[in-house]
Amino acid sequence: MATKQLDTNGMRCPQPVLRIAAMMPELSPGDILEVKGNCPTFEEDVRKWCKRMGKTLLAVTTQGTGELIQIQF
Amino acid sequence: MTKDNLTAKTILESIPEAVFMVDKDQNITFINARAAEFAGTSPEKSIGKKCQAVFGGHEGCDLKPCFGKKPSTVEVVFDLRTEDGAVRHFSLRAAPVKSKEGDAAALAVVDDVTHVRELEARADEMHDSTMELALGISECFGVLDEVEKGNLKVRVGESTLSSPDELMASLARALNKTIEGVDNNIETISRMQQMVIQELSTPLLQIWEGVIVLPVIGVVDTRRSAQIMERMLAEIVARQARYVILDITGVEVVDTRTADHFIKVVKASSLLGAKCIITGIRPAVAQTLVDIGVDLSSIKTLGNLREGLAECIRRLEREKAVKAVREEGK
Repeated sequence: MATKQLDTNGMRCPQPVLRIAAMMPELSPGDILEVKGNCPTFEEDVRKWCKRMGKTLLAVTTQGTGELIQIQF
Repeated sequence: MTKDNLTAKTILESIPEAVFMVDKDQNITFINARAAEFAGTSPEKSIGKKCQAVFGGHEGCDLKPCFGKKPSTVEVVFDLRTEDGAVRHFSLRAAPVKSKEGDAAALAVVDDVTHVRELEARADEMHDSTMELALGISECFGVLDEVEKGNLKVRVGESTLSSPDELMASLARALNKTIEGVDNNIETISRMQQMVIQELSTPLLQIWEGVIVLPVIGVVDTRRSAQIMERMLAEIVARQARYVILDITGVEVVDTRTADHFIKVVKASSLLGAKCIITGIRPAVAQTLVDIGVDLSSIKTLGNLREGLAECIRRLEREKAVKAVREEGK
């Protein structure tokens, strides 16, 4: 089970979720993706994405002016 | 009235901001034309009346905090229905002041924030629709991932898609359906296809920083090509796009005129500094292009949208690296 990181700080909606989507081929079931982001709707967008794509949102942690979200594939 | 007071009154009456003043009983002691206009009345008819009566009797005009033991400012947003029945949104900021006689009073400034609210609502709508689009694209990535892993059996309505071409055409339709904001239910793709094609204008999606995609579906006639050209050029400028992907997966028939339209779009894009890539040329379309002698050799073509996006990202990364090296060398 691997853990990968993705930094979307500075990107605006919907680029963070597209970047997450683009990483899908690199991740296997059970892998964890840690995504950093700071756009205003980052958490809301990632939650929607996880729900639609059937992925598990493990945790949301505030980091400075943004958030770190862990997603399990 | 002193000269100073007269000057202040003249200024308050003539400024474009809406201003009024109330006494401790919240009776209006001064109101300028702009504020009276917001309330649908005139200054003459408002003086001496309760603030709530003039501004519609809602709680938003409660200025009591300005007259408490510890007078404080008031900031509220309230709605007013105009004579024609439309609802407008206002923000009111009031501060405790003293009248020239030394009595407690409140000075209020009212702003019509209807346009701000409308823009906020529009921004919310745009965010929602953009997210829907992003989710649709995410699903495309997800499905393509599954295809790569060997699962080619994708059911859409009554048919089973068994080749990447069929799959890409289906995904392009799904994307356009998302843009049009119609039902996301994939079961209805076949039924909705004709309607989407008819209603399709020219959706342009920014799917990556500096990369915009134009999925083309159906017949590209002169009117449609002019529409494509106009929107694409405007979006290249507005979004400062470096790459444009013209995805023609959804184009089943191409003739010399259609091909000519595409070539013109590519050339026009390059004049604005954007490189154009055509993706999703179907086998039948490729055969037709060869048969009719259309030369697309000067145009970068790739198999599908995903390859197009990957190519754009590669080029952008390369450009970024070159730029970084140049800056380091300075």
